Amino acid sequence: MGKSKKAKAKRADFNKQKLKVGKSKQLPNNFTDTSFRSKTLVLPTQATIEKEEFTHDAKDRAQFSHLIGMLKHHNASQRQESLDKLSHYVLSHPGLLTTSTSLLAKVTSPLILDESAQVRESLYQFFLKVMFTIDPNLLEPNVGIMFLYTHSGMTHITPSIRNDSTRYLSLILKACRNKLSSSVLSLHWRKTLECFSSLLGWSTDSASVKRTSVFSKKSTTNLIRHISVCNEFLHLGIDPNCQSKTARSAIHLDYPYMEQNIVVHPQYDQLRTPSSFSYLSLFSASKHDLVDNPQFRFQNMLPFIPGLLDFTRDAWSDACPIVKDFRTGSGSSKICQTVLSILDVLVNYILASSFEEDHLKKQFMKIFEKIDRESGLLQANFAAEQEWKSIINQFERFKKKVDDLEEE
Amino acid sequence: MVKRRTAAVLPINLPHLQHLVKKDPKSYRDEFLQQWNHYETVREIFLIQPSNDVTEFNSLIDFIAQTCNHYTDITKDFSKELMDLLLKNHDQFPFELSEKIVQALVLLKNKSALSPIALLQCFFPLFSSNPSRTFRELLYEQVSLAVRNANKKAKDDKLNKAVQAALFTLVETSDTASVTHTDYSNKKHEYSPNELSGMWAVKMVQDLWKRNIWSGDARAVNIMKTAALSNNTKVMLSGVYFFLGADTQGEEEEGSDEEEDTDVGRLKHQSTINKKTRSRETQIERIRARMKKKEKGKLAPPTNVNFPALQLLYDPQGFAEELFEKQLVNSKRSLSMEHKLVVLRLLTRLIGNHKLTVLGLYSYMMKYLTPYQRDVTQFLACLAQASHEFIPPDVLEPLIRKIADEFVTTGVANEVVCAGINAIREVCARSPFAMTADLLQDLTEYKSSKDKGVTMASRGLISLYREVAPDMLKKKDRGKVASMELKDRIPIRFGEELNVVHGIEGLELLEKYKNEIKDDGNEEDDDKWEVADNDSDSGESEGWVNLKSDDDIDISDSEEESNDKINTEGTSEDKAKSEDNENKQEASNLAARSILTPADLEKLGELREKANVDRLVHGPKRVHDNDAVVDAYDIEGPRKRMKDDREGRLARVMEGREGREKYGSKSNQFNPTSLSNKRKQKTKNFMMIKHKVKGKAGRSLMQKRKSLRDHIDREKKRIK
Repeated sequence: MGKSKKAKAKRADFNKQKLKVGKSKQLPNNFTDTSFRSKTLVLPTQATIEKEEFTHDAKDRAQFSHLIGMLKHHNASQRQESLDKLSHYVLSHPGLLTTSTSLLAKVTSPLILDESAQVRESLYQFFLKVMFTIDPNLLEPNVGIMFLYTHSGMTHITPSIRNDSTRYLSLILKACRNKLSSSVLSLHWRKTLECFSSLLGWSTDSASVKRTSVFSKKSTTNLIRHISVCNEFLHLGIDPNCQSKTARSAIHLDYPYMEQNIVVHPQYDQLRTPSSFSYLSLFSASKHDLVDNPQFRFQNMLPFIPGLLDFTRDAWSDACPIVKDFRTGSGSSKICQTVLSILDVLVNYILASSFEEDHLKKQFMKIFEKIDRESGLLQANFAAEQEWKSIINQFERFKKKVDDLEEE
Repeated sequence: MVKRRTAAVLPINLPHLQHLVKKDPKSYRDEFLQQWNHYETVREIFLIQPSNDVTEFNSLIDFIAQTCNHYTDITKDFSKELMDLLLKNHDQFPFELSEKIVQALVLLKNKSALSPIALLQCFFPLFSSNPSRTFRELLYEQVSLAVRNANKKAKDDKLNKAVQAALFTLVETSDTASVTHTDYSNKKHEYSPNELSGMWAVKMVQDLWKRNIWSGDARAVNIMKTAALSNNTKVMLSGVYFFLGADTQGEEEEGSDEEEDTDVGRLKHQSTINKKTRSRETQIERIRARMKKKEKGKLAPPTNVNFPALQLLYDPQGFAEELFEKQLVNSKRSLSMEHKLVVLRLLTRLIGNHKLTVLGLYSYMMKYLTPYQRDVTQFLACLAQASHEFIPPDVLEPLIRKIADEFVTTGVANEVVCAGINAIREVCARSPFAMTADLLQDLTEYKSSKDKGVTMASRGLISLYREVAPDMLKKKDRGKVASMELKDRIPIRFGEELNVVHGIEGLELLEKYKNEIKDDGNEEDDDKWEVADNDSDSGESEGWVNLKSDDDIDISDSEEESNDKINTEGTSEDKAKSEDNENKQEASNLAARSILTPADLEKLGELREKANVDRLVHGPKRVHDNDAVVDAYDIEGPRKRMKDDREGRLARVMEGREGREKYGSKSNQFNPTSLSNKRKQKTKNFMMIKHKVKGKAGRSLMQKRKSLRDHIDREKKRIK
């Protein structure tokens, strides 16, 4: 039997296998399964040290982007909260101020148009504490967008937004006065004037119906701010005395290269700043005149001047008390002061011998005479009060200046 | 205390301000100026920092567009700015913004702050460059609307010209933009906006043509001609379909009109008398709807004469040649079979319509004339369309020979033979010289085939040649009339135009009719002159009076007028008498003798139609009218319907049931439940309930009493 079995096994190797329908072919004896795939080797202990740091950083970054995202939240209190948090966060991570200035400017400046007063208030704080403490070289390229949104705010249909807009403008102007180059101002000069004209209600064309009363008693504080910011703006723009401050000292001669006898372009320093040619307005869509000069700026401003003069006259006559018992608002002295200051700036140009526009001179002299008359009354009635006294003094100085200029 | 002036209403939102500005533009000028400044700053911001939230910008644009007409000095550049904005940045704008700008521009156009041509000049470049489909749809809608509005009262030719020029360039640019290349990957070919712009242009022309605004406009036709020659297949197809479809559209309308000639009054009368069935009701409904439609059609302003688009082509020969060269035999162009067939249909129809010669076409078609070719009947129909009497017979002969060899042989199905003979007949009807006598005699042998279709086709061929050239037929096929006329028949020669009517078509009918009328008039003239008057009025030459105005009975006519009418009728009667006398002299030619009045011409048309109908009813079914259009259906011949399988039969049954109510009585339509058991018991057969009845009746007295008692108790309980 054993033999037969063996014989069978032997024979089985040579038997032809019958193929059957529906069944796969029988595998040969020496078949090797190669259907597996290689697997990666993982060593979980390798990256333990860096991981913590990494996650810490990522968490930070996530929080930052989260806060920025929350600035667009539909709930006003959420927005305000995230703005506050953002200002804390940025102050605690000073590196962010240098790395993501433009991002911050881009994200926060739309909030100038925010509907909620709280948000605008905390934005003001944010600008005050954070944005305008940044290195001016970094700030300069980003002021443009703030200017744009401020303009938008100044012409906004909602009164409260309009009123708050000058606060931001005053911040920007302060920054301009101290640190930034004057080209920033030139770029936005005309547009800002237009905005002021609609904000303060002096119109550039004669077709519109004149408002009899410029001021409503309610918003004197806002009005005072508007006027004073406007005054500041004009001073910054066309007062020759302010110009020396705005122009940064041109050339620092302590280059390290000097010692090595390497020739350097004299405007090298200027070229090191990020937006050295911004005054050329190469990339902006709107057409700006290249006015980086107070004289040019004044020329640019000419169409606004009649309206501005009218406005100053109205403001003076509204604010200045003539009779003793006249109820004087708290801010009226401030208004008078600002009006005088504005006229002070303008007088240099209007009464300059080279100035041809005769009707402006006439208009100006009329206003001057009116103020002269009323200041006499003022002296008679209010000489005792400190605030008015200072105004009278200011006017005396102004009068002297006018006389000097007229003599010329 | 001085009372302050009531403060002017200060608006806090734009719609409010808009309202105020519209009421009193002068005093709200400052506010408007403020918003204008605001708009400018917002636009600047948007250009620097485009965001998806455009609601504010949108509302400002809307506001200014609505109110700018009050302050033209401030906003004179507004439309230009908007157009610049759109043209420069349209591909980055979110859809809502570009939509708003487009709407604002249209609004400005409506306020005539912007000329329509300028608007369209702004829109057209966007067609070819904007990637968004929805935006292009919007533009299309607006442009089409603008054109339609401009043409509402009178044709605005200047605008039409401008738009057509723009569309023409769109079609042309789409042609150059597309590069034909064989794409072996299975990916769907994405069309660039530039290519699609051609599609939009073609669609617009088609749409405006259909709406009867540009119909009959040769310039529009030539845009479509350019489209048909385009390299872009889609554009090409829609151009070709335009030519194929625009012709049939008019005919369809006419056809439906003719159908309406059923006698409405009679049907209405019948409906009052006959039994009211559902089918009759629906019939009346249908007729009523049709009448309403007809009325509407009458009310619509009369449209210009709708020339078929094919007739308006500037250079049909050039077009046909270019179509053939560019779309069919171009080695760079690889159209699919269906598309080739469509182009071929247009090309052959062009050839048939204008009697053009494109000799290359016939050798090109040679290879498609085999029974195995898909849609071969279409090809045969095309060949028939492409043949006319001015094609040299030696060009067509090989084709006919091939059809005869391939189709009309033994060993092919009867349908194939039928199609072959029909095709040959259609070709020969248009170009009789393509046939040789031998072949004809071979083909006529098939008249005794067993298949009905083949027999009919063969007989058709015979009857055709009886008319055209009976001498080519066998003697026994010529028929009585043809063989009688054979002697004095002038044989047709090549180059002669077929089917030319000499003189006025159907004039002999009119003459015959007039003679009849004359007899009738004479008979009735004495006793019933009113009838005769009617006849003379409608049938005769009374005057160049519009018939319809005569027929109309104006109720408000004053008596004087009617008297006048009678007078004139009297004079006409006199005239008619005198003419009748003249008519007694038989004259051979009516037209030579008298001038045909409009009334005559109308009658002539009527008579011709009647004769046609008579021929259809009594005479041979088919007349060899050499229409430019040949249907594949004509070639196929009568088809015996194959026996359906079970599914087919069921489907047919179901189709019949569709939309009809169920059969059965309508009495219990609203009571879906069946009868109650009690009711059913009443109708039950007695034998079924016999045992129950018997059980009740056969009870003992005791049992009866008990059940009665129980019943009383139950009643008492129930009452309590």
